[in-house]
Amino acid sequence: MSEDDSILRTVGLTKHFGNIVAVEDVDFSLREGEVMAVVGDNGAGKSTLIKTLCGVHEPTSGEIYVRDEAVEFEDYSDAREKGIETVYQDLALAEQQTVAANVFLGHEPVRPDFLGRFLGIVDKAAMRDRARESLDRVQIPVDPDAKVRDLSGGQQQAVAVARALQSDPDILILDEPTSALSIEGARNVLRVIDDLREQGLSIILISHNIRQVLTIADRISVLAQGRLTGVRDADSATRDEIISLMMGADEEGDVEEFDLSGAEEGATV
Amino acid sequence: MSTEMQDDEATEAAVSRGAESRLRRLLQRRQIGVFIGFLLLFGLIGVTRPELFFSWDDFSGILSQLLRQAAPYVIIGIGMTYLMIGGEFDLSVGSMYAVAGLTFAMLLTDFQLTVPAALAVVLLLGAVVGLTNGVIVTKVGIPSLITTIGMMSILRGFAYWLTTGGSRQLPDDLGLLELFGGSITVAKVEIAYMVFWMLALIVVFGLVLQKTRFGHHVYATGDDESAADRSGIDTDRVKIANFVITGVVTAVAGVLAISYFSSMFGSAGRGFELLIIAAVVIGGTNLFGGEGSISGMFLGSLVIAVIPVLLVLNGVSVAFQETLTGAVIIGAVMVDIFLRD
Repeated sequence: MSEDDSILRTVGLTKHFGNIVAVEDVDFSLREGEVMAVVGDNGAGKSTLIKTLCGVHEPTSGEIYVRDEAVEFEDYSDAREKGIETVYQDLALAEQQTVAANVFLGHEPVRPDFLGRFLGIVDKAAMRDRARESLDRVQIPVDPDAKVRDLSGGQQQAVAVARALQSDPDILILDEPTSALSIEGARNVLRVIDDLREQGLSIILISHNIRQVLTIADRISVLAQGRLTGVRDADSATRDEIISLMMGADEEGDVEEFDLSGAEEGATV
Repeated sequence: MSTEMQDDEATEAAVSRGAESRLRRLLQRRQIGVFIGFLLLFGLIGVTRPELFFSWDDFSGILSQLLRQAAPYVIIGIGMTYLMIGGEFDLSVGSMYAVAGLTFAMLLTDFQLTVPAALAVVLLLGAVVGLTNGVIVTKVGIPSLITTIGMMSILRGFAYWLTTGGSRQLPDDLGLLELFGGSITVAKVEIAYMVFWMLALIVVFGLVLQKTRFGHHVYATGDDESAADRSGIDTDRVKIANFVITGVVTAVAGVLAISYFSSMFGSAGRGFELLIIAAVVIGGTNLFGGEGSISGMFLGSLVIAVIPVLLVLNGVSVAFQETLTGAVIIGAVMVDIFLRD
């Protein structure tokens, strides 16, 4: 299969954990500059799919292509090198440290003089200034000297996004960025996603909030029981259509014989 | 999507929250509280034995005793602070302290090594012990509680073996040893050179912790290891480095102590591990990592060192001292947890 405009795609991606099939034969594709939502019930394989795309899991079989180049990720840093950054659901922030320290976690700028480079002396002024710049880019005001644990959920999300943007990624994966937020915080994060798309990033947005996804995304990939049951344009898709795909209906609209109990609650609207 | 939504209320709230937390941080500055605690305990000596405070001979003696008592805690505490900020701890330091001092003596007497050579070997030994602890904890995955208790026992046995149950003396004709074991007296206060070494180590390791990338990574590792790991920090390497630093500074403390006292028992340093962990925690290092400072640990060590001085001067039995010290440690940690909530 060749999709000329895809920046990231998988072919037959499969991940098993022992006997458990987490992701089965998924052909996923992300186009350049779009927001692709990935929705599905709990246990549908969203997390596993994303974790294979960002280097946490190695696929059991199938291929991943970045700009039509076959890639294999052994850990996060491999994915990062290919321009894929992830904002994890738990945000992966060191909460007792400052905002600036978190934005540069693991990549602190050092003083440019000889001694600074030799001893690895952190350039705190530069770190603070550049952290402020990055935070400006996501347009959520945060004091770079504040400790992360003193921030609201939306601000913490902004810090995590600002950090992900540090490496100038082409692809940003956001794992349930709004699930733990207030309505206000969620709105701000959706605005950030919109801005980043404007800036040319390609974004994968994992969510189980269908209404939100229909608003913000360009396309929606639906997973059920580890399989990709459909890809829809957000403009033309309806909530009912997405829910029926989430419940395991294949492309023809037939609902396969799955246990559907609890599926409706999972589809938070 | 309403992108024009710029939430001014949230901004103001964030700003005022920032200012408020800065003020709170200043008031809650742990160092100030710990220093006041130390002064209270020190003042208690004056309350219970006022005559000691009115004679400079006695008062200077108390100060000398206090410095001598605190210096080894502080030096080892430097390593323990790194470890605990990074989310681990080391219970083998007391035994390592004895092994370092005794090995130093053995190399100088039995093997006739020069002082620099003996020092180099002992520092290397400290590094190897730390490396062993670190690799077992991080790569094998045995918790530091088990690993370092095991190492504590191994090294203590080694210390007894080095002394065959008694003690070891240093030869007293080695001029260079003066550099480690000597002292000067200022206004009748005896200041061991150990104290100057301690200050130098505080400055160096304090700067490394606060200013360098490695220091940042120590904090991040103890704060949230998985987050640090996902940010590209090699957290295992950070932890192993912390264990090595602890082994080396503990070796330094052992060498300085035997140089000062010119002899050491096989039982030297027993119980140091708890006292030093207590000093670190009293000094504001989070019991679960991610937060802390060398300066806090220094003040915490003064608190830990002043307690036995206070008790001895009031004729409290040694047995009861141990009991009371244990109670103080638990109390201090309880207060610490209470303050954090």
